[in-house]
Amino acid sequence: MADRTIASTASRTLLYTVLVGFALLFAMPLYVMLVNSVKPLDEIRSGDMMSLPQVFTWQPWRDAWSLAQIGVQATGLKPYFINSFLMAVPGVVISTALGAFNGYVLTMFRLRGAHVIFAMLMFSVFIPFQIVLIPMARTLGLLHMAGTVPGLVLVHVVYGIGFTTLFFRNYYAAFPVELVRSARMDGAGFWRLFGRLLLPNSGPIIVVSVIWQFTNIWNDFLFGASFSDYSSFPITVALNNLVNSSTGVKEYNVHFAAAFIAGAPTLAVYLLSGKYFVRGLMAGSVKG
Amino acid sequence: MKAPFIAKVVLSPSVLLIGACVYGYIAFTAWLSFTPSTMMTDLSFAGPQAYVRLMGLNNWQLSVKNLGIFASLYIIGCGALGLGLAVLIDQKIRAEALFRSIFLYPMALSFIVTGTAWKWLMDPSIGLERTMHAIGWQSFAFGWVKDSDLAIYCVVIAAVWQTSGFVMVLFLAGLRGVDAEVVNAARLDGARPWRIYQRVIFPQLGASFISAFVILAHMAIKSYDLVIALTNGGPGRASWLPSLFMYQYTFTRNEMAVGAASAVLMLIAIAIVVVPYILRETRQGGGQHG
Amino acid sequence: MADLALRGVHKLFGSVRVLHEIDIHLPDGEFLVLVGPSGCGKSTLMNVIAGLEEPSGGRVVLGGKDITGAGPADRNISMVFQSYALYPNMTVAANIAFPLEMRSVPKAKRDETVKRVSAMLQIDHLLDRRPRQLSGGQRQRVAIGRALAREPELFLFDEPLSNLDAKLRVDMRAEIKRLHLRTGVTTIYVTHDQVEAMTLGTRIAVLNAGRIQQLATPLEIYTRPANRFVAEFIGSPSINMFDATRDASGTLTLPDGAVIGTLAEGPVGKVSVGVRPEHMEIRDDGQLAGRISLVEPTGPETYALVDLGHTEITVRMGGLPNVAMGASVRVHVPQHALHVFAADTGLRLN
Repeated sequence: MADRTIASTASRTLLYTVLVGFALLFAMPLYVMLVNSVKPLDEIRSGDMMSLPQVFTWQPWRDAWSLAQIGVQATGLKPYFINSFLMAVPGVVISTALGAFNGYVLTMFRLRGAHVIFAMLMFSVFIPFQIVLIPMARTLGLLHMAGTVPGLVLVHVVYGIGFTTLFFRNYYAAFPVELVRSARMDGAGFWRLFGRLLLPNSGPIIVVSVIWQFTNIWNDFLFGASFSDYSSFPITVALNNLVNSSTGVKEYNVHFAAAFIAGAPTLAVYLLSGKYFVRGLMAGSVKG
Repeated sequence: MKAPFIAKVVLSPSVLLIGACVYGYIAFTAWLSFTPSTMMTDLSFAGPQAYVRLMGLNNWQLSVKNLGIFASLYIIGCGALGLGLAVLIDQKIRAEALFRSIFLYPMALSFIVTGTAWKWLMDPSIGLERTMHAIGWQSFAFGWVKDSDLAIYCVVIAAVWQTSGFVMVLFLAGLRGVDAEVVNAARLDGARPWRIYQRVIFPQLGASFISAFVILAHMAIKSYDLVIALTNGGPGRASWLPSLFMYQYTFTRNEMAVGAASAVLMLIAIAIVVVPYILRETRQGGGQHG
Repeated sequence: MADLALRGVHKLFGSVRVLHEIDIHLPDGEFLVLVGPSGCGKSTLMNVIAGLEEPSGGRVVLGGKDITGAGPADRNISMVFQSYALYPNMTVAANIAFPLEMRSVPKAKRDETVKRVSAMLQIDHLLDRRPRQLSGGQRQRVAIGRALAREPELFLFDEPLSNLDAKLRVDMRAEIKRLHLRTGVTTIYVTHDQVEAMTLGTRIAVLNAGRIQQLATPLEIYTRPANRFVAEFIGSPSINMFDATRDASGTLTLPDGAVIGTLAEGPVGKVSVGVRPEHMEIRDDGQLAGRISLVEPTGPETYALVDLGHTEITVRMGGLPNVAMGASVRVHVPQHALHVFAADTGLRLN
């Protein structure tokens, strides 16, 4: 945009007012979650959601982490937090690695049907996952992986390949052609070209892929709800279990603390990753 | 360079996995929808009876109607808010990065997390209604989430809040792709700020509009987590969407064929929106290093 | 049509002073070329005149009216941009009509203007096309057409030819000149190409580091450059510069002891002496002695690089080469061809 901005001084005040207003609106749910997670229950019930705590207590957090009733066991979120990690880390690593290889092969070699393969990979990103629930459940059963964390890892890898391949393929497609050509002329073969030229220069897209996959896998609910059992719930399923199936007294403060615990890792990744998060979002949408 | 054998080997695990677990499963589910399966899978051919039954079910008709309401409001809401925020942020404001982070952070959270927060925020006994009463606005009522007719709109609100930041980022990139000299030319030609947006800038955002539409539409059709967390489909079944319908009929009501049929219809709906978009995107680029 | 006056215009970006006290008076109908190396501030100056940027100080007066505080839309100035800046989503006709539309000119008059302007520029057969369907030269004309449609008081051209290939550039240069003769609108034209500057302008302003080095007719700039920068910037191949010493009697001596000429009045000590290649001649009675190091025939003329020991000079000779590489020669420099500049300030001394 040109140097002299389009709005004059009076409008600038209006501009900032509107922006701050929306910012407050957007921040509100997070504020509510945090503020009410440290209030005792009677204060929530008698007071209003937006006010700061009159009595400050960490008990809801302790409950959420290790004491809350989830399903039949009163273990809090801790074991499920661990499940999510055990599920997410291998899922991220394997799907990113596969995506990198796929992107490499699809861009650096003339492959008959490469466009078709890529289109089919891309489409897999958009499908409603409801359509694979039934056969996947059967498959996991046959493999004796139903209701296990490795089963979830497999599922997330399979349905993550589309995304990661998309990231790496677009990244390598924009890689300078002359570098590749001169490496080939220097005699670099299949593994050398990848390991010595492309991979060392793939830092940014690896970060994007890791962030995106971690966020998606950690935040997933549908696969978790469909393919895990009480021992292998990821934290999202545990959270929903805690909130939706609590009979009798609803401990809102514990729910809020639990929600924040469930959301903290991806929120932390988001805050730390800045522009890489945005790149991941953009990579699937506008071309180039 | 023509692909050596090793390249094909490296690519094949993914191709096989996707082939089987995406397209193979789609075929399986599609087949299931033409069988009489209920609790157990029965692979005999039964014609389109599951679809016939599906169309006649009140629950399905309600789900589809809700989807219509939800999807249109969601797309329009996110589109308008996202574009508006992008235009505001593009005005060379200070602390731009801070504002962007605030509008985008909901995208980092699981729908379950945000659904939980919104669920209690909208609850009449402890949420917004309560707060308004405490301020003094006694007649304020916000019991939508408990109202059969209005519960779906609560889902819209939470969904728009969650996704607008993403649409904002999309449009911001589009706005920044507009040539600054063209905007300068418009200023010299006498166009006032609003006219510049209307006549020069927005028409160049076509690609962003399309991307936003495709992604929002497919997310709307797939929406599941948010509804579960916010209303659990309730009150009763008032906020059911096709995604909930499928899950319920397949796993709880033991009508696998009907569930499969609903999944197939969801897939077709998404395909109509997404396939043209993918064909356009994959036609360009790639393979030039070959 | 109006005259333009810039009084004390200066511009700071943060703490960096990009323009220093620019004073220009441009009479009505003149064609001023702003020329200078990249980063000299010419584009910033254009933007200030157009109203796209605010000056940090000074006044801009057009046709007697002070427009310093006016927005770009209210100055009655048209600009042709380097990248043409056509509206990609509009047809050629809509592009040309756009400024009129923004001023609420009725449709009939708009159509008539579009027809007239496009006929003048020979683009009337392209009115329904979009910019992406046009060649570079055609887009150029549409940009000019859009600028003409408003009948402004001042035309600004910002390096409009730099994106065209060489032959097209020469053709368009002539067209722009013819256009100016026809319409007589006061014009400011920015370029980094000194050939364009010399051929197009009725006046040239040479800019460097945010200051006007000289504002004069092309002939004067070429024959009497005001300082060393102007002498070296204008002229291709560049002027030959010597470090010389002037003694009390006015004799100018080069480092190897050769006497190149005299300067009647001036400082004693170090000076710079410039001589254009076309004024040097390879002659047996020349003052300077050297050896031919390179011969460059260009067709109509030949340039000989002569190594004098302390420096290398370029000598222009008409026609095909008649000297050999490595030959020892003497070079004659006529007195009238000397441009003498102060060694410290670079200002002209003669």
